[in-house]
Amino acid sequence: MRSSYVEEKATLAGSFIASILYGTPPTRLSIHTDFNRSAILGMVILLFFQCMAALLNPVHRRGEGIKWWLVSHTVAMFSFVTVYTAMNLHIQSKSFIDKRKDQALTPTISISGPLKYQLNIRVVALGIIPNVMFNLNNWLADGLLVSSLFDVTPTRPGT
Amino acid sequence: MGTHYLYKPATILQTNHIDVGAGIATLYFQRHRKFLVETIPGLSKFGIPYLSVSVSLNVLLTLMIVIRLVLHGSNIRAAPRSAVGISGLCKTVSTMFIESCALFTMGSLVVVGALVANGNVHNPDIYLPGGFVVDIFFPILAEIQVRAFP
Repeated sequence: MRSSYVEEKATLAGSFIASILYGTPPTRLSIHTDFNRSAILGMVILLFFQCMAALLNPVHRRGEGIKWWLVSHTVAMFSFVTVYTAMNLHIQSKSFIDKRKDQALTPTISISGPLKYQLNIRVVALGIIPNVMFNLNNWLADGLLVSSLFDVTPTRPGT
Repeated sequence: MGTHYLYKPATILQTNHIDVGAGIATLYFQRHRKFLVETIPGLSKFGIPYLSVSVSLNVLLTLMIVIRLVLHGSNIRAAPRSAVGISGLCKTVSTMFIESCALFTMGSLVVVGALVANGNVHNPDIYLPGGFVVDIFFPILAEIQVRAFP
């Protein structure tokens, strides 16, 4: 029996901080919020709406039309991170409320309770899907960087 | 200014493929139940290479884009009748790239350091300082990743 529950507290703290980063509402309800004041809290939703406003604004287009692949890229990343946050919170509530009395399977592993449930669901869909979303987001972010590198790279000599 | 050659960022593409492969390996070996008794985070064996390759890919890409932009700005400044203000635009875009890369790099390095500190410990009873750092910073890293909103 462990005396302190550092891992459990850390898991909960990580989920709370991630949720705060995801969606604490800005202090002023406008798309053009003062970015420097509200960038720390509620980063994801704020960035998503500012980004969509900039992408769909006809003033910025200079006759090029809306870049729909950028719009779909942004929507895809936002939905992935939304699924990640939602499933992470679902896992937390399920493990800390429903499965709070899970017993250890073998006596060699004395870990029990919510963390044991979280270790168990690493092999089923509920535990895998958040990590899949993490990887997809990572690949999309890297892909955007690669495409912008190709944009600024000259394709033929002398340009 | 060194731009008069055919330039193929093949290294970047290879690093990108390695990144994708390491991510798939991480997800695949998460399915293996033997991971359950090996480490508490369960990500150490493939998470360390995956996140390391991801960080290096990000840093390399950002450096290449920023160097390209700086060279472009100085080329334009050297040209006669150059457009006024293009170097300021380049500086703004470079700052944006560097800031978003630094955010992700710092978060990833914290997670990688914690995973490395955990190591291959087979007994989850041992108190490890890396475990709870991973627990805190991995969800935060997932939110930081949307820095790539264009």
